[in-house]
Amino acid sequence: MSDRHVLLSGDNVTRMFGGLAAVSNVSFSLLRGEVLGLIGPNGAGKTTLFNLISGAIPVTRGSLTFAERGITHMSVAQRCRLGIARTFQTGRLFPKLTVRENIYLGVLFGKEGHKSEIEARSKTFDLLDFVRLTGRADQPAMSLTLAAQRRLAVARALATDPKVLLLDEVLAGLTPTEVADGVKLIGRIREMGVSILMVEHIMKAVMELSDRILVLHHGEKIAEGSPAEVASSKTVQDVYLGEAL
Amino acid sequence: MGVPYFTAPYVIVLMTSILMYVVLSVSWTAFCAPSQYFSLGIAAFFGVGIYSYAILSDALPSVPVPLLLVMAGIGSSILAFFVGLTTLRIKGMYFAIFTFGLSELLRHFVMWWEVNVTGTVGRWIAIVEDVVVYRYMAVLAVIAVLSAYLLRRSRYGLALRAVGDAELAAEHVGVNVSIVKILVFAGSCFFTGAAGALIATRWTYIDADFAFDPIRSMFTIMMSLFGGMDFLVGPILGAVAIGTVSDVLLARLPQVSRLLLGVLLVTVVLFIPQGLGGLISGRRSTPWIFLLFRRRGEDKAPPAAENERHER
Repeated sequence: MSDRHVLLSGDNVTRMFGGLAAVSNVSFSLLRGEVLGLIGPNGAGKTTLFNLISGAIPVTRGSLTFAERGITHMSVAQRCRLGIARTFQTGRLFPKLTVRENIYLGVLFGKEGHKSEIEARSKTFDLLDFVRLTGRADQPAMSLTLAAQRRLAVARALATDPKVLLLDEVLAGLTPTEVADGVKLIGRIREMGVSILMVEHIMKAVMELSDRILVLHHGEKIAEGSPAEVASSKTVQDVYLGEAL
Repeated sequence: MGVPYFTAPYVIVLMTSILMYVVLSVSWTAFCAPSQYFSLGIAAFFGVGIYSYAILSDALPSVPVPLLLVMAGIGSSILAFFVGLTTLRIKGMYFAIFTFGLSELLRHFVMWWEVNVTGTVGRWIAIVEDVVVYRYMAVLAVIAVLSAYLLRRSRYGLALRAVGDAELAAEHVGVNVSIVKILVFAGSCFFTGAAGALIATRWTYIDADFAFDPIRSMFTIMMSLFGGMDFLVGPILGAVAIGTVSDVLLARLPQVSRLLLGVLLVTVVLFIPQGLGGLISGRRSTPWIFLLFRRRGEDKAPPAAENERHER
C-alpha cells in the first residue's frame, strides 16, 4: 500500500461532542479506484466521520489528507473543489430549484476555473441522462420520488467532478428493485474512476460493492478488511448481535 | 422621462418618492428573497447613505452630485460588508432582529454623537432641484432593476437561491457561501444608501430620527410582499401600487391611512402570499388561510401517487 495509491486518509481522527467522542482515533485510508464500505450500528459515528471528511464540522484532533495535501483546516467548498463530493443521509437537495438547476449549480461551482455556459449545460445534460432524470429536468427537486431524489443527489455530487464520492445511505428506504438499480449505478460510477466511500445498512449491497470494509462501533474502528474477513470476524458479529452479515 | 417638463410639481415629487421605493424594494428583494436572509435594517443603510452624503458634500463642495451619490452608496456598502462579515452566519430570525437592532442603534448613536461630540442637531444639505432629483432617481431605479435582473440570470443568483434552499448543501457543491452572501448583500445596500442620499437633497435638513426612520424599512418590505418577492416585477409593482395608494390615503384620509395600509398588508399575506406578481404569472400557491380548512393529508397524497406511476 504505497502512499502514491492512497487518495484519502485520516490519521487518528477524533471528534468530541461535549464529553462524548463521536469519532475516536479513527485512522483509515481510501485507495485510488477503491470502494470502501463503512458500516456499524446506529450511532457508531459513520455520518460524523463523513461530516469530518467533507468539512461540515471540524475535527477535534487528528488530521486528514487528500491527494497528498493536508485538508484538515480547509473549508467545505475548498475540499469540494479539490475533488471531495458527498450525498446526505437526509437528502438536502435544493428543493425549490429544478432538477436541472440542482446539477447545473454543481457543475458551475464544483471545480476551480470558470466554465463556459455551453460546457456547463452539456455536462448537466450528460449527468441528467446518466441518472435517467432527463424527463424531469424542469420539475422542482422536491417533486421527485425518493429513489429519483437519491439519483439526483448522486448526480449533483458527480457534477462537481469528484475524485472521491462519499455516499451516505443512498440505498436506505428503497424497494429491492430500486436497490439493485442503485448498486448498478454505483458500479458504473466506480468504472468512471471515482473512488467511493460508502455508508450503508443494506449488507448485501455493501458486501457486493466494497473492496474493503471498515467497521465503526461507539466511534472507534473495531475491524477493517475484505468483506469476507469482516463478515467472519467475531468482534463484528458480536456488535451486530448475531445479525447475519 | 420627458414628463416632468410639463407636469405639476406634486406629480414629480410623488413619482420621485415612488421611484425611491422601487430602488429600495428591488434591491432589498434581490438579496433577501433568494437567500432567505431577511434584513429589517433597510433604514440603517438608507440613513448611512444620507449621513455619508451630508458629510461628503460638506467636505468636498466641488464634487458633482452623481459622484457624491456613488460615494454615499459605497458608504452603505462598506457598512453592509462588515455587517455581513459578522452576522450572515446567523440564520433567519436572528439576522432579522440584528439588522433591525442595528438601524435603531445607529439612530441613537448618531443622536448621541451630535449632542455630545459635535454639539449640533442634524445637518444641512445643499438642495437640488426637484426635477433633477427625479431624473437621478429614475436613472438609479433603472440601474437597480437592471442589476437585479442580471443577478437573477447569473450563476451567483442561482447560488443565492441554493443558499436559501439548503445552505450546507450549497457549500458542499463548491459554492463559497460567505463570499456570495456578503458581496450580494453589500451590493444591494449600495442602492439603498444612494437612494437615501439622493432623496435627502430634497429635504435640505436632516437629523438622525428622520434619516434612520424605521417606517421606511417597513414600507419597503410591505411593498415587496405585496408585489411578490419571487418575481423581478414584484417589488416594482408593489412600490408603484402602495406608493400611490398610501399617498392618496395620506391626502384624503390622513387619520386612518396607516390603519388602512395595515389592513391591506394583512389581507395580502393571508390571501395572495405570492403577491401581485403571483396573480399575474398564474403561479399561485394556495393561500395558507385556506389550508386551515383543509382535511389533513389532502394536499399531499395526489402528487406523490402520480410520481410513483411515472417512475415505473
